[in-house]
Amino acid sequence: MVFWGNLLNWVIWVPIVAAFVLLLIPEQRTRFQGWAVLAVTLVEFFLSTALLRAFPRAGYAFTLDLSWIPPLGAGYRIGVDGLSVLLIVLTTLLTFLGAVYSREVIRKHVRTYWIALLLLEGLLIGVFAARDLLLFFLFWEAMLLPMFLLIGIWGHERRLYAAFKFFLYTMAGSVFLLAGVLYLGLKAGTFDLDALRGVAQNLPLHVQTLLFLGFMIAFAIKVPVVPFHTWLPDAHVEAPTVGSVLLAGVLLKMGTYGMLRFAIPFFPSVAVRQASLWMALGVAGILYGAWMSWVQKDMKRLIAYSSVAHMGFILLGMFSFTVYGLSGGMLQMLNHGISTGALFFSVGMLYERRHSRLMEAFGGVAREMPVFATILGIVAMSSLGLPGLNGFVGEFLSLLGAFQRSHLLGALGVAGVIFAAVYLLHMLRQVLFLTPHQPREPLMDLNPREFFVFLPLLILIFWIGVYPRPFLRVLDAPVAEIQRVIRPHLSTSLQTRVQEPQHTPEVYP
Amino acid sequence: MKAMISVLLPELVLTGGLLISVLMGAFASRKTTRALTPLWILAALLTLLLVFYSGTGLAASTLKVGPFERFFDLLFLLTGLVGLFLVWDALPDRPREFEFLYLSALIGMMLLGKAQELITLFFALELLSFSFYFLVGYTRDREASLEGALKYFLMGAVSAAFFAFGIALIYMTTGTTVMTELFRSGLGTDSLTLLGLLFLGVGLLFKVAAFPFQFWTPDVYSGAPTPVVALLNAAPKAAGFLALLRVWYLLYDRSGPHWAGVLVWVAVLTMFFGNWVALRQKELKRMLAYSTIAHVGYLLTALLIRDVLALKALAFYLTGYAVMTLGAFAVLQYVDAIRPTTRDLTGLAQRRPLLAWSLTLFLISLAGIPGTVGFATKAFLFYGLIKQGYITLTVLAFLNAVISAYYYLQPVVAMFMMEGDHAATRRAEEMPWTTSVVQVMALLVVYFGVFPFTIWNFLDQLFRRMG
Repeated sequence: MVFWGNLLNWVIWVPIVAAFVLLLIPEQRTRFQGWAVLAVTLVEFFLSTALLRAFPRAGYAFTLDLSWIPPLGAGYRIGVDGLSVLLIVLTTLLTFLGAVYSREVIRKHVRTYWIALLLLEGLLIGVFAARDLLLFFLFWEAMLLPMFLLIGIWGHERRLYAAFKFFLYTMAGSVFLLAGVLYLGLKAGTFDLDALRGVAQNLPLHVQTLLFLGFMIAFAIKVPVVPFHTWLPDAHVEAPTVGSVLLAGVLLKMGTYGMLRFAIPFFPSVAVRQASLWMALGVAGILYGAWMSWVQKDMKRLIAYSSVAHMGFILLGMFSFTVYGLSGGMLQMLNHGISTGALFFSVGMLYERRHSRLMEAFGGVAREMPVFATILGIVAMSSLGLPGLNGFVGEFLSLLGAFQRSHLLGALGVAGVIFAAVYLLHMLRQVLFLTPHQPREPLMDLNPREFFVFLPLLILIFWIGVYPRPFLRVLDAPVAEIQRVIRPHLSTSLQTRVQEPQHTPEVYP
Repeated sequence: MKAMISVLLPELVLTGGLLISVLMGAFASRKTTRALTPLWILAALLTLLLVFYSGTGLAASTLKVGPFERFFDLLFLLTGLVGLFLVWDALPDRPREFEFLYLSALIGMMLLGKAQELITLFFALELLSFSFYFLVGYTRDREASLEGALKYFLMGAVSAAFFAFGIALIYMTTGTTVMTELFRSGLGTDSLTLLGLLFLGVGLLFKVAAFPFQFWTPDVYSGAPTPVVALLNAAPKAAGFLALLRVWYLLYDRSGPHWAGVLVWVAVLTMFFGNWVALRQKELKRMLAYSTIAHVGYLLTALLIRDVLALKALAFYLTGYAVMTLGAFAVLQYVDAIRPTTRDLTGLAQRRPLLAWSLTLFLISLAGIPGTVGFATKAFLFYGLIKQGYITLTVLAFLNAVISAYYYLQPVVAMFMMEGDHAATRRAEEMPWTTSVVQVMALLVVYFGVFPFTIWNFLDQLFRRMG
C-alpha cells in the first residue's frame, strides 16, 4: 500500500512501465505511439509539479523505505528535497518538450526512439530520487543504455564513435564509484544515505580521501570537469537534438548533484581541504570552455563547450561552500538546463531547415525567421548572463560565493562571463545578422509546434530572471543542510566569512 | 541402503530414463525416438521435483548432499531442461543417441557437484566430459564441428591425465582419497601432496577454461551445435566450480595465502585475456566463448572469499550466468547461419524487435549494467571480495567489465544502428520453444536484476529445510 500511495514512486515508474508497454504496441502505429508518449510525458510533468507543492520545507518529502536486498542492507529508499525536486521537474519538462519536438522529426525506428526516451526519463528521475547509494548507482549506470541508443541510432555522421566514447568513458568513471559504494556499504552494513554519512565521516582520513576521489572522478566525468571533458563535445554534437537537450540539460547535472548529495556530505573534511582544487578546476573549465567555444564553427560544438564553461560556474559556486555560492550553484544547475536546452532546440530547428550545423551556412536568419531570431536572442542572452534573465542570477550568486573565498578565482570567473558574451554574440552575429555570401533558399519561421517548445522555457527564463525567490526558497533547505555538514570542518576565519547571511540571500526584493 | 537411495533418488530416476533411451535407440525406429523428446523433458521435470523431496546426507562417504548441492542440482536440471527445449527446435534430425548422451552429461554434472572422494570426482568428470565430446562433434559432416570435438577431446584427455596423476600422488602420500579425511587428518603438508592437489586444480582449470588452459573454448563453441553450446556454457562450468571449490579449500588449508596470490593472478589474467581477445571477434559464438573465459576470471575470484558468502556468491553468479547465456544462445539459434557473425544481425531490430531487445538485455547483462541479473551477481561477488580486502582486484574486475562492454555492444550496434537488413532469421513458427525460452530468460534477467534477493532467499530456505 505504501508503495502505491507514494507520488514520487509513480513519477519514477510511470515512464519506465510505459516504455515496456510501448514494446507491445505494433511498430507501424507510429501516430498512436506519438500521441501516447506525448500524453505520458505530459502526465508525468504534471505529476512531478505536484511534488513541488510540498516545498519549501526542510528534510525529505515523499519518502519511502522498503526492504530490497536485506543481507547487503540495501533498501528501496526514495525521497526528494528541494534540489532533487527542481531537477526532477526540469527532467520531466525537457522530456515533454523533447517529445513534442521529436514527433515530427524522428522518422526511423520511431518506437525504439520513444522507448529509449521514456526509459531515460524514468531512470534520470530515479537518480535524483534515490536515497540509497546502491539504488542510486543502479539508476545512474542503467541510464547509459538508452542514451547509447539515442546517440547511436538517431545521431549524426560520427554517431557510433560518439556513442561508444560516451558509454565507455562514463562506465570507466563509474568503476571507482562502484568500488567506493560497495566499500562504504560494507563498512556501514547499509546503503542508507543518512546512516552512511555518520560512518563515512569516521573513517581514517586517507581512506576518506581515496573514497572522495573515487566518487569525484565518476561525478567529474559526468559534469564534466575539465580534464575529463573530452567525451562531451563528441556526444553533444553527434546526438540527435533531444539527446543533446537531455544530455546538457539533465545528464550533466547528475554529476554536480552527485557531488552535493554524496561526495561532499559524506566526506566534508576532505571536501573542505580540496575545495580550492575543485574551484580552480571550475575556473579552468570556465576559461577553457569559453576559449574553445570561441573558435568553433559548428554551432552544436560551440554550445557543447559553453556547457563546459557553465558547469564550471556551478563547480566554482558549490565548492565555495558559502550560502551564496551554494544556492547560486544549485540554481545555475536549473538555469543551465533551461538555457542550454533551449539553445540545443534552436540549433536542432536550424539543422532541420538547412541540414547544417555550421554557422557560415546561415546568416541573415533574423530577416527570414524573425520570431526564431528573437527567441534565440533571448536564450543566448540568458545563457551569457544578462541581468534580468535567469543566467545572471545563478552566475552572480556563484561568483559572489567564490569572491568570499578567493578573490583571484572569483575574478577569473568574472572574466569567463565576459568571454561567454564574446562567443555567444559572435554566434548571434554570424547566424542572425551577417548577410550570407551567396543567396540561399529562404527559411521558414517557426511553426506553432516549435514555438510551443520554446514557450515554457522562455517563461522560466524571465521568471527566474526577475523573481527567483520561489526557486531560491525551495533550495533554501538543501543549502542549509550542506552548510550544516560543512561548517564544523571550516577554519574559524572562514566560518565567519561563510556564515554571514543567516537566511536565504535575497538579491532581489 | 534406504537412506542412500533417498539421497540419490534424482540421479537414479535420470539413470532410468537414460536406460530407456538406450533401449529405444536399439529397437525403435528413428522417427519414434525423436517423437519421444517430451519423455526426456518429463524425466528431467520429475527429477527436478524429486530434488525437493529427496534426503540429504552422505552416500557411502563418497557423495555429500547438502542444501548447496541440491541448489546446484536444480540449476543443472533447469539448464538441461531449457537445453532440451532448444534441442527440440534446432536439431530435428539428431541421432538416436543424442538424448542418451545428454542425460548422461546431466548425471555427470550432478555427481560432480557432490563428489567427496577423488575417484568419484574423476569418474563424474569423465562421464560429463565423454558425453560432451560426442555432443560437440555430433554434426559429423561439418569440419568445424569435428575440429572442435577433437580439440576438446585432446584437451580433455590431457586434463584427465593431470587429474589422475594428482589423485595418484595424493593417495601415495596420504593413503586416502576421501576428502573429509584429508581435511580431518591434516595429512600431507609435504610437497608431493601439494603437487597432487595442484594437478587436481590444473585438471579442473582446464575444465572451466581458465587462463592459460582456455584454448579449446573458442573452437568448441564455434563448432558445436548452438543448443549444445548453450548447455556446455552454463552447466558443466557450475559443476567444475563446485569441484574446484573443494580442491581449492584443501589446497588453501595446507599452504594458504601463498596460493591465494597465484589464484589472484590466474583470475586477473583469465579475465584480461578473455576480454582482450573477445574485442576482435566478429563471429558471435567465438565472441561469447572468449567472454565466457572472462566470466571464469570473475568467478575464480569467488574462491578467494573465505566465507559462506563465497558459496552464495558463486551459486548466484552461476545461476545468473546460466540465465543470460541460455537466453543469448537461444537468440542465436534464430540466426540462419552456421557461424553467425555480428553482420548477420543487421536490421534485426526492425524485423524482430522483441528478439533484438531481448538480445540487448542479455548482452548488457553480461556486461554488468545495473537493472539486470548480470549486475546483481557481480555486485554480490565484489561485495564479498571487498569484504575480504581485495580492493585492487575488484577495481581490475570492474575495469574488465568496462572493456567487455565494448564488444557486448557490437551486436546491439548491428541490430539497431546499421543500415540494411542482413538478418537471415528463421521464422518464429519454426521454433516455438526457442521463442518461449528467450522470453522467459529475458523476464528472468530483469526480475533477478531488480529483485536479486529472491535467489538468495531461496538458497537460505534450502539451507533451513535441509539443515
